[in-house]
Amino acid sequence: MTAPIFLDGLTKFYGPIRGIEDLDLEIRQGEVFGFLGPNGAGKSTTISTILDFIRPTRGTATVLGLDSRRDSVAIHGKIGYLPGELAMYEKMTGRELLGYLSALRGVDTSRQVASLAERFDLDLDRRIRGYSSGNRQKVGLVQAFMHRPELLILDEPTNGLDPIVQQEFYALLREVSAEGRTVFLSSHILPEVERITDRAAIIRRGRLMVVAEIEELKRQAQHRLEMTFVSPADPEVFRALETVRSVAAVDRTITVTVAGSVDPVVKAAAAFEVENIVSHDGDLESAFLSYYSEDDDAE
Amino acid sequence: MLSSVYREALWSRRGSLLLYVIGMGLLVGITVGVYPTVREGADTFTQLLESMPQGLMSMFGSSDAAELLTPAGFVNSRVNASIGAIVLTVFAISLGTAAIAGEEDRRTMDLILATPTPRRAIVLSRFAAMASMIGVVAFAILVVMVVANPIVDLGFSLPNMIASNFMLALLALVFGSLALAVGGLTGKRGVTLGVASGVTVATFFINGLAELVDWLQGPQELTPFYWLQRANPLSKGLTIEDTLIMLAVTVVFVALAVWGFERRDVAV
Repeated sequence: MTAPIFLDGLTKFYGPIRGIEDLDLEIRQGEVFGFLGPNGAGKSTTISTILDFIRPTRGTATVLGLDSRRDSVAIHGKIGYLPGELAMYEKMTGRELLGYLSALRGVDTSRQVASLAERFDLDLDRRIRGYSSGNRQKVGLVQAFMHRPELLILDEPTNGLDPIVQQEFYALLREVSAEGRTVFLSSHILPEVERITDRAAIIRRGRLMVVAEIEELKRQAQHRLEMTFVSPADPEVFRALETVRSVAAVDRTITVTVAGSVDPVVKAAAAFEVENIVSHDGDLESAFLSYYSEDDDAE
Repeated sequence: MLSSVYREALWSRRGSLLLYVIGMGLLVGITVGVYPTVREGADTFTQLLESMPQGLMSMFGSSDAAELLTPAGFVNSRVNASIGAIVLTVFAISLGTAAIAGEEDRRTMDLILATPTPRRAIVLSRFAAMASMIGVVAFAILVVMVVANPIVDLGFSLPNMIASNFMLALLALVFGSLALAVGGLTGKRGVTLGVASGVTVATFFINGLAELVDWLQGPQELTPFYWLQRANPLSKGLTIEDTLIMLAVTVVFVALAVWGFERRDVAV
């Protein structure tokens, strides 16, 4: 089976400035894949190169078995795309814009459009310029999903969506994935990626830092425990533990960063009289931060 | 999908198209309407014109006062050789700029490019839309002329009126295609507007001033305004040579636009 997206050494330089460099990545069919990184890391550059809006300096992108350069038009027929910086024809109504884009695709999407608009509670008969940012984003999502594409490439899809619509969007993603269709979404919102994707890649300064299952990333992630004791405890006890990365003691509170299991820390803490323990969960944000700090010296 | 881009380009410009039709119709209507006054006061106007610097007169399409006061010379001086040509060219440049560079400037190009629409089709559809809209305005001028012709007793033949407006449309199309080409090559709206307007103004003045400045006579031959002036279609009908030159230049510009747009990164 061909990978929906296969990147082989994909590189884009803008003159001397690195956009992305040597990206190797394989997306599996039917998965929801998260492409994580801070703003400016190269997420949109990667997407624009995959979609042939911009041309790679070297390397190749293969989408649904087709070459991103040579077969770009055929690829565009099979994908749905939501731009990160969504700009639309301001004078058109939502319905007109969706009609235009459907005509360009040569498909009748009226049923899908009606059903998606209802799910997202979107009034299609207002002009784009009159839409709130949330409604604009809904129009963007509808145009990405309306023709039931095999592959969805979504750049920061939940930008500006209110929580209820976000839930609806997550549900839509699950349906798409259950149908065997593939979603590649970029985000800088970590809890979101953690929640809705199966696997994720972390990109930073144009380079892929890691590609892993979400569960794996969580396991690698650092946890932070904030422990408050009735009377000051000895920080050296925690420093000696194998999984502990750092220890900071202020008054009666000791904060430790743990990579991996927190069990030894809790057991060690039990030797003292504990007033409170706050766990800052092992979310991707911590995983993320650890990838940042590891690489900082190299740059 | 080609026809969708074409139709959208026309539809989204329907307001300005209507304004140009009305504006140019009025311009030509008024020009023709004042001609009887010019004809009756021919002696006075001849004296006035002869007292004007030659360069200024040649800006109106002829340096010969008697020629300028004939119906063809007068209408030509206002419509084909000056304000009419400039207004239609401005319209063409705005369309040629909006076609690619304007769309990239508004960052909406990726919405279209993400559909199975070849870049070439976008350029060609927008070119076709631009040519159609210029054609509509030129046709409106033709209608005004045809209606006014017997009323004001201008004595134009129908083929000459058709030829005149066809060649005027071609002149505008040359500059519109230049804007399309610069937009295709650069994708930058400011550059596109600047180059296309700059070339228009420069060639207009080169043509106008060549009567006075000897060394401009070489460059003058390269200006579309000169091709139209030399052809003088309102008097002489369609000249194949000048028509073909303008068509050829247009084709080259459109080819450049396609080539430029297909090979480069698009601003999204």
